[in-house]
Amino acid sequence: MYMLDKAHTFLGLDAAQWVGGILGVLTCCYCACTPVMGSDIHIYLDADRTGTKLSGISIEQGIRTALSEVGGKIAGHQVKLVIRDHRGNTRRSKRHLEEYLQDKHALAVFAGLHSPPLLANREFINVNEILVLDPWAAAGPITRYPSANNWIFRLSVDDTKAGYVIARYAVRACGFKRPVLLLEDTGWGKSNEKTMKSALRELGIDMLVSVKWFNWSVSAVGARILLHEINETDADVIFLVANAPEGITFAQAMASLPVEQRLPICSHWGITGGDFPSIIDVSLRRTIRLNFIQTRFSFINYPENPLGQQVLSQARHLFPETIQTASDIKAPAGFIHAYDLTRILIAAVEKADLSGDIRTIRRRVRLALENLDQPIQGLIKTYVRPFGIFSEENPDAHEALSMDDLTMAHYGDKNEIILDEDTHLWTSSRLP
Amino acid sequence: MDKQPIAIAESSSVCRMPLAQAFSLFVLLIMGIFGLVVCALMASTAHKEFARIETREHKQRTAAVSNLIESFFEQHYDILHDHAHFPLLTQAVMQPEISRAKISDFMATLSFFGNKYQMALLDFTASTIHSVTEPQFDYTQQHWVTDLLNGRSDRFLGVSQKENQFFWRIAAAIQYNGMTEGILVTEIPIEELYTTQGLSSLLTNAHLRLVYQDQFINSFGKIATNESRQIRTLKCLPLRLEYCWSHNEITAARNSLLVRSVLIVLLLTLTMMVLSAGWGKRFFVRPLEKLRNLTSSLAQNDSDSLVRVDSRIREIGLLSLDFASMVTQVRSREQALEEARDNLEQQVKQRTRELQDSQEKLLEDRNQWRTTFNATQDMIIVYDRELKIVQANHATTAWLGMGYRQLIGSTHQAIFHENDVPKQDCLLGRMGLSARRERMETYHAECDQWLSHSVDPVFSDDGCITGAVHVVRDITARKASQTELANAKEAAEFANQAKSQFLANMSHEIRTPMNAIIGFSDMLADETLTHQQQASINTIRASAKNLLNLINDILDFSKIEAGQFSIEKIDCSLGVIVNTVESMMRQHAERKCLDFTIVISNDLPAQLHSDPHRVQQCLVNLVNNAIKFTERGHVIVNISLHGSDPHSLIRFDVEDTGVGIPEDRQQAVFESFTQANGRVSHGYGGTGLGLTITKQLAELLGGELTLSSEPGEGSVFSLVIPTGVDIAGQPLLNRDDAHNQGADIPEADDAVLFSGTVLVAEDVEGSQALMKLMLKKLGVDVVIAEDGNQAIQKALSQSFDLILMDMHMPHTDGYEATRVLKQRGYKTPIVALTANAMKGDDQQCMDAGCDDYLVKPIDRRELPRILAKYLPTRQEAESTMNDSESALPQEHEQPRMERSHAQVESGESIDSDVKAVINWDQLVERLGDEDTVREIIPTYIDNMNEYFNKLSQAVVNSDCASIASHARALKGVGRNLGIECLADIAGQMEHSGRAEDIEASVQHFSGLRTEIEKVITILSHYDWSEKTRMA
Repeated sequence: MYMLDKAHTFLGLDAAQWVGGILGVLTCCYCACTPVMGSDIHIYLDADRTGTKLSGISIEQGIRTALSEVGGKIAGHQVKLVIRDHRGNTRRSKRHLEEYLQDKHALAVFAGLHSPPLLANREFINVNEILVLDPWAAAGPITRYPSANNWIFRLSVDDTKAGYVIARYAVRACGFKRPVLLLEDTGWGKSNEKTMKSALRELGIDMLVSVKWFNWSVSAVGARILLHEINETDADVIFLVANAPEGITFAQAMASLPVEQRLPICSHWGITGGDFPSIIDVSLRRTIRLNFIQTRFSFINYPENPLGQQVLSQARHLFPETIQTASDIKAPAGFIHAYDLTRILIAAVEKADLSGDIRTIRRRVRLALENLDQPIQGLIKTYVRPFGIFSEENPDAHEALSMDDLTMAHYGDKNEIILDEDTHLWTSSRLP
Repeated sequence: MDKQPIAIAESSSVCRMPLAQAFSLFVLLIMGIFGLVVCALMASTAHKEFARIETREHKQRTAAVSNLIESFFEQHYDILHDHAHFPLLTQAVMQPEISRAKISDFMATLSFFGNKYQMALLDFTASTIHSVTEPQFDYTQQHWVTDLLNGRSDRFLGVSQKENQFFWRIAAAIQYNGMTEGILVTEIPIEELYTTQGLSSLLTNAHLRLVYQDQFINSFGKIATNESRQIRTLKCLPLRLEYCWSHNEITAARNSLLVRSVLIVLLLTLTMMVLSAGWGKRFFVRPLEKLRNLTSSLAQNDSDSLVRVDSRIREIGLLSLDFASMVTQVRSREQALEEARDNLEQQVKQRTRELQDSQEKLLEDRNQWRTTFNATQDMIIVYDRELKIVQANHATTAWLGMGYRQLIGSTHQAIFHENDVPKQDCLLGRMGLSARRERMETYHAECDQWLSHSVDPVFSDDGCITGAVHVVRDITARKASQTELANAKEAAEFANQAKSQFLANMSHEIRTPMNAIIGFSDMLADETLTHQQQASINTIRASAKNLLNLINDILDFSKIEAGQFSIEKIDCSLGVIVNTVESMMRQHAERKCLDFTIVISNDLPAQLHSDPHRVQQCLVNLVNNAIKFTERGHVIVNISLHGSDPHSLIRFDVEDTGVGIPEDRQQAVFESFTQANGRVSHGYGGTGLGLTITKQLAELLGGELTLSSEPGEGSVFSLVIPTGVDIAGQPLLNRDDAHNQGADIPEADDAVLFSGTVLVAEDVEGSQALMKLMLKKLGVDVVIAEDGNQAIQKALSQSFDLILMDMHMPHTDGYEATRVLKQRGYKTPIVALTANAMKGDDQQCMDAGCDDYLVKPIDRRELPRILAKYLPTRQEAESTMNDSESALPQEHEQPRMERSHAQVESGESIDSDVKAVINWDQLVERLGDEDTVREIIPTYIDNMNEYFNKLSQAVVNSDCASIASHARALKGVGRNLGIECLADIAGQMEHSGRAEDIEASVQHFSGLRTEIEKVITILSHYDWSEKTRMA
């Protein structure tokens, strides 16, 4: 080739330059097309491990427990869990997504409790084809990207249904008639406002008493002012949409009011993500009435569930320091959802062809998720075709759970979450 | 003396310069130097002080300026920090996309003291989320930003520069969940600092330079020449302040002040010089010249020419005076010396005479002493330090039969029998040690003589023992009389004891038949009799009771006479005494239709320290006496304090409206076997001993009994005894409280029948029959044993529920029989029957192992009480039977059905407070039905009352054994009723009684009383019979 150097030039480039150029291009192609076959699979967990730390840890424990059942390997590939803490900051979350895109082994990202990072970065996720699995964040629009190119799958409470469950519980089971909505001023709060209002309309309550908004980090004084304002209306119940830090602030503010001014709270489940039960402890909880939505599985309510027993013993084995009994699994929803979702992911990865570059593999796995034909046993239920192809007509295609999988719950004396039994009586979509 | 004027003349001839001239020169020199030194000092001090004041002033100003500037930063930072904590900003940092529109509106409103500056909101990458007003800064890649975002600090203060303009940069971290998620930063134009209030006033005549990290930033104020500066660096940011000021002004002021001061000083010095030269001549030079003249005249011994030198200078005046006095003193001293010599000679003569006198006296004393020494009957020996004899009197030599010379120099061993030598060594040895008088007695068998020895040490003036004086006395005669006396005493005591025993035996012997008489007549009185028979029986009963009283009186009297009557003073309740007397006497008085009143003054103490039995006995005697001699009217007992001192006396006046006593007979009523009128006794009966005993008891109690009476009007007997307590420290008497302490003796319920078999050990036939009859009437089966042996045999061969044991029986007495039975582990309770009324009998019975005792003659009401303690009542026994037997007798069935009906009715009406006291359900379960419980509860209340009364009496008497036994009985009642608290306290009290711990018992007693009062109040409040009748 060197002989050709000076003799032949083409388009102003000599042979050596051509050869180097071609070799460079080939190298690039090779790198980009390197199959993950034979190398590790990276699964990211990008969640808040600061403000609602327990939720992040619980999700991690769920994923690890499910992975440990397959020996930490999927289809022969060692799986590595890469953990990032976005602290609830949408921009930090985006930076982690960018890191994922740079990682040639990164297959999927498990999201955390907060909806805002997913809502703010939804465009970025779907455009860049980031495979996001959501075991907690509940905002309705997260899985409803108006395009067939929808990359976010959820196994969790969905606000388009949560509002209905909370409203039906409050109106049908408890007989409240004048609810006030107390919502955080974020995309999550706004999506709940819509569903709750429509659920209340469905229950025959057209005129809402009031809707109150608050920001993150709302102060104790701010919370008391809001509760006083609510007290001045003739409300008989509060529908709360908040995460643990703000939930704690409102619960403390409620407990500080005179008994006759305290209103029962039916809450979204955001409050269960942090250290809510240890700060709003048994003695404080006795002074207020608080129920919140949960998915319909609990290690405590269903101790005889064989898979539950097996998972619990596995978790005990994996995390001997922290988990001894079922009530040691704090923020259990994260654990349960992440466990089920990881089992579904494992099934999809095993079904998919793992050759080709990572972007191709992600596409195949996404396709496999949307076309799982074998039932997969999970803690909440056995998933039969948990996901489908999203379209305007099929808005729940990326939702693994339905309204029947939701119920209300409360905290027990040991800070454990206890599900309300016999909730089918009021959760049904049929009007009584 | 003569040479002195020459010396002075010589020395004065050496000084050539006149004094006045020398003095003026000296003053001039001193003043001149003084003036110069003052001026120099002033100049130097003024320079230093001005410099110091100036520096201090500007230091303070610099500090003030620096404080103002720091507060400028702090205030602005505080405001920024508050802004940074708005939830909206937190949310904007966490979710910039969502809050962008709101943020721009919000940040546009943020201001500092009304001023708006450039402000930017940065996210966690230091990129600007939003910024207000120009100019725009780039904050990425800056150290302070990294520090803030990594949480290493939470604020930044610094200086920034943009297009040659400087800004104060203030930044605050925005945190969420304790983590820094963004920054709010503001840029304030540098000149804004000077708008700080107060800063410009601090900078008049000075200017301020600001240097940030060695770069000059700005200066403020006017610049002048000849400057000094103070440098200070701020604490909150690395900003150096250079405070510069000019010296010109202050230097000019200092110099002008200095010139004026020096001129004044010089003028003053000049004036002083002139004045002091004039005064020096007048006050010093002239008097000194006069003095010189004076001394020269003194040197010529011209003493008459002494004249005082007048001078206004004190020292010179004094000097002239001193000259005058010196001359006078020299002359008087010569005279005194002569007088002293004469005096001394006189004294020597006097002392010589005195010495001769005392020698003569000493000789006379010595002769007297020797005569006495030898004349005394006792042997007196004087030893030296080595116990060698140095002196001995004639009695010694005579007794020892040794010559004086032979004796002197020998040791003490020579004097004594060889057996006594060790004792004597010991005696003298002890003396050497103890240095005090030692005594001993020795017996000399060979001459049958007792000697008493006393040895006293002899001390020297400095306290050392130099020898000893040994006095030996023959005490043989005294010894003999002592022995005789002891023998006589022993004989007398023996006789006395025999008398006591006789009295005790008499008491028993008389009481035993009395027992039968009273008992049978009581029994007969209950039978249906003809009127005549009834009258006869009543007479027999009255006579027998009188006889018994007589015996009791005689016993008491004999005991008092024999000195056996012991008074035991304890703390006791006055209320209990008064209540007991009232309850004993009221019926008696009412029977004679007399008004009987006890009037109590309101200042009486609740407690007395006295013998409660004797006080009670006195009162009963007096009241009894009053009732006896009063046919109509009243008997009033007035109780009041007598006298007002702290340990005052209490006075009981027993007033009656009876026959009265003539004055001439008043003394006689207190004598034995006497009544006011010999004939009276026929009308009223009685021994006539009562008042005698009362009077003697009053005296034994430390008080007295007096009488005032008017024949036909009535009498007042006044008993005055010490209270024995400090009244000031005592709670006052409240009789209602005392009532609860149980002076009232509850009447036994005759209707109560008992169940069980009782063994009666009794040797006297009459007593046997009486016991049999009384017990049978109470529903009990009786077996009789003739003596102790039989009692043991029967007790062991047959089963009994209770044994009543007479303690005085032939062959084997009750004590012995009880002891034998108890030793064999016999469990059935044994109650002692004793006619011995002497003190200590009860304890003797308890010691023998008896569980209880009854005093003969047996009171008809006393027996059921004892039975109730140990035997079940019929009802109890029947209810137990009914439980165990399934087939009920027909006749019982109907009532039981009625009862069960009543249960439904009244079961609900059982008050909750009753159930709070007794364990009702358990009781019903144990006894079968509610009615049985209702029936037994009154019995138990009575029992409780009774045992508690006894217990309180036992506590009052500090009688540990009784405390234990009554507490045990109460414990039993408590357990039976399921009042565990009561049972527990009673149990503790029983324990302390057994341990003879009276203090602990008293403590438990108060707890027990509270508990019992509560229980009895609640249970008595409930009408049990009513409920039963309803059934």
